[in-house]
Amino acid sequence: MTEFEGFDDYAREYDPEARARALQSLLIEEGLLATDTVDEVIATYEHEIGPLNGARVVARAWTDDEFRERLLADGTGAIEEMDVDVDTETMEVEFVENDDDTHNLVVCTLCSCYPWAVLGLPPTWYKTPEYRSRAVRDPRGLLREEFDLDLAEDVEIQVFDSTSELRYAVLPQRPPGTENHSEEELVELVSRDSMIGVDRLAGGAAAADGGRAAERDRLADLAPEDRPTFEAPWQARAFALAVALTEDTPWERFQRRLVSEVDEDAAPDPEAAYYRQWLRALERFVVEGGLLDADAVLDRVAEFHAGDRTAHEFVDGDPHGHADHSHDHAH
Amino acid sequence: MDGVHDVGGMDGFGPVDTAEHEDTFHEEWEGVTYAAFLAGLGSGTFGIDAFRHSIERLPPADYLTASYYDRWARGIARLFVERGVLDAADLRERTAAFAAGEATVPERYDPDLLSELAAGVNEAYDAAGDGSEPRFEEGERVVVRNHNPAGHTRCPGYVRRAEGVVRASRGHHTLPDAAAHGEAETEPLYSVRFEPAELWGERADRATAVSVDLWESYLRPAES
Repeated sequence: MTEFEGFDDYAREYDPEARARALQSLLIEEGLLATDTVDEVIATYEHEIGPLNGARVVARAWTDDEFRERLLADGTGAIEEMDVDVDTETMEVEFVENDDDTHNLVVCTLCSCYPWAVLGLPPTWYKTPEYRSRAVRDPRGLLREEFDLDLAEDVEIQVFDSTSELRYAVLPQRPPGTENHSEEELVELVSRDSMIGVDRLAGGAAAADGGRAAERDRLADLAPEDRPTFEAPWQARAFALAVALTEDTPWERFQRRLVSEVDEDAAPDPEAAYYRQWLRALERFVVEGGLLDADAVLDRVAEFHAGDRTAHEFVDGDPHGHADHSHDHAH
Repeated sequence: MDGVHDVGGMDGFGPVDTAEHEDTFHEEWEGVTYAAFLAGLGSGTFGIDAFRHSIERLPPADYLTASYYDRWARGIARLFVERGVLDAADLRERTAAFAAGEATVPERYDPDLLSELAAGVNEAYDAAGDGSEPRFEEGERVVVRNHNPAGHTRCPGYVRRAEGVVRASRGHHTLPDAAAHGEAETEPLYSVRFEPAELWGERADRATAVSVDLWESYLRPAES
């Protein structure tokens, strides 16, 4: 053991990029790293290891009771049964189950231990002192204020502080209205956050996907004649925006504007006209309600109309997203 | 050690920035740092507990202000020097060159290296081993000793001296307190559940509980 004298001063003097590059260079020269090793490690973590394995485990548990029991009794063993590429050599995983009266939450107060074999690398917030400090002392306040998950006072929150190489993941409740979903469809509903415990899927809490899954379930529960039908994607977007924006305000405020638009428009094609009216009502709603500035809306409309902007940037995982961002910067 | 990393139950850190970042590594040097971490573990230069302890040894102000992967970069660089793989003067000199824009990363290809490192990583992680018969049973009441070694430990400060119930017995695992300092010991590991008032007193939310994995030497039987 050789003391690294003045280490802290060295670390403060240089930015982390210069320190990391120096380390990389010397390790490559020593034969402990190689150019292709670094590239493969980055590619693997960026593209291959994610929460999908965990979602598949959860969906299987929702559809196969015997598997669920094996999973809760011996998480690692049950995961190994499945055809998922999980590194069980370095980690054991215990799944802890939510029910109507119990909610589970995972944290690592000492560093950033995480069930990465099933969830990939942790999100940035999971590693912050802000999350780590409060999760054990005030989990209910943390979930309510930071994750829009308002649990009733009588729902017991069990917090698991991951101090060992045994890692915890949450088995969330299967959302209502998904009885007819296939296992593959269920996989898509399982958010990463629900397996950490900051999202509950069931119970109408805001989800990691911005509530899209919950909204989909809500629409699925509507009688067929009440479900909206759309002739173009923009109609669905306008509909969804109005539903989302009026969540905290009386629906009547939007409806009043919609009625007035319908009264003023006398177009012959009822379906197309309806969503045109809907969109105008929405535009009035956001401007008159003070949500957006009228000029900002007009500018943005002009950008879309001129082809200077597309909606790719708002689509999670859209490969065109980056290109459009850089396009924006050029303006 | 009583370090600032042991944040469980602390007040005042403020709101959580839950903004999602699209990329796993926000900047390329972060991925490079991760690769250097795997090189350290995989080559047997250091183990996971020595790595954690190296980060814990950062001065509190540096720990709290450095970004997550900067803490990693610091913890890893220190260990490569301490374990004699790299020379401190070489590292300083090369870092200064990169900071001045006068250095480039050398290219060298070694297609077999990643699988060699992966095998080493598996060995570096805690291997559940054999050992003495577990002293505590499921359902038994235990008290966490005032366990506060100068070196590394995985006993969070907020459970010290608290009484809890053994939720589950988890077999034998490498004792981090020993492994971080180059000693090989395994001990029975338990999941211990603590009631809120025991940990947080009057401010406790009654309908919560915290379970922590604790090694046998952290615990003693509760007095009946």
